[in-house]
Amino acid sequence: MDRHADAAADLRRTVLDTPGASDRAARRAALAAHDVPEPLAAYLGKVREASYRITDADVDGLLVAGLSEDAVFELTLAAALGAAGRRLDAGLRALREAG
Amino acid sequence: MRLRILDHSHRLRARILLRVIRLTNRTEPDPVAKVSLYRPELFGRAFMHLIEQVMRGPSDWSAGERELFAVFVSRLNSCRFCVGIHTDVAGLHVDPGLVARIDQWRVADFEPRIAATFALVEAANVTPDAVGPEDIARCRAAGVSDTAIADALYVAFVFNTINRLANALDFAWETDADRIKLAHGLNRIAYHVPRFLLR
Repeated sequence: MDRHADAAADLRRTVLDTPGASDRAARRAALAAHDVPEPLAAYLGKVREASYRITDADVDGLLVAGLSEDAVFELTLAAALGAAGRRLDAGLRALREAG
Repeated sequence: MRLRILDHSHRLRARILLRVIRLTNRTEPDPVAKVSLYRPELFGRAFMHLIEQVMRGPSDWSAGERELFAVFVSRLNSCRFCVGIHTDVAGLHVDPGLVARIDQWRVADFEPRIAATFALVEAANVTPDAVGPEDIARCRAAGVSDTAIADALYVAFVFNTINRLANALDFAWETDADRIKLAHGLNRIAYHVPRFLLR
């Protein structure tokens, strides 16, 4: 029934674990939406719940605060996957519960 | 694009490919391709594998129906870029007039199984903590198999991911003609990017 589970798990693994500019703990925090320091927390909150409101200034602010473009890319990916995964898991859980 | 690396820092192989696309299509390459070809081991390789399987692999849903779900989710996320591209792609598979009525899906002439699945996808997106077996029961009652329910949830998953990237990183097309070219290009390759380009 859940024929895409392996491919989705692969995506999650590569986004979280491929070596890059941010460490694995930071990406896990971005994906799970907890223990993220400012100014990242406000930006990643928007990525998850209101990404259409993100402006140039939001991203520039992170770069000015000292994050590299690669780190912003990696953490954006992790937060986007976290938000998408939360919704997928909610639907699949309901499907399991429906018996 | 808000991050310069996604326009200018690709490896040689990807840089050559992007240049070929610019020359042959006479338009800037699809931002999804640019993002996927940048450090493909991080995101693009796994993402393109998943989206190809979800959008064009085996499913109870036709390619056009899956494009309708893509448009539907992209509208929920207010992703102007993905709404534009996938409205065009959907219109290559199903009646473009139907695609244009997607915001009125509760009253428009969508098949019951599509409307019931829209309702489930909307509930999972907007109030994920409140989705329950009764949402599934409505899909089943409309004739949607459990496998088809899961398949639609995965369409939502890939678009929930890419919509957020598109909005955060500011994916855009330059003109309406470019948007139509990108949509036709995506439909022609059917989401398939040769593996060697993503190594």
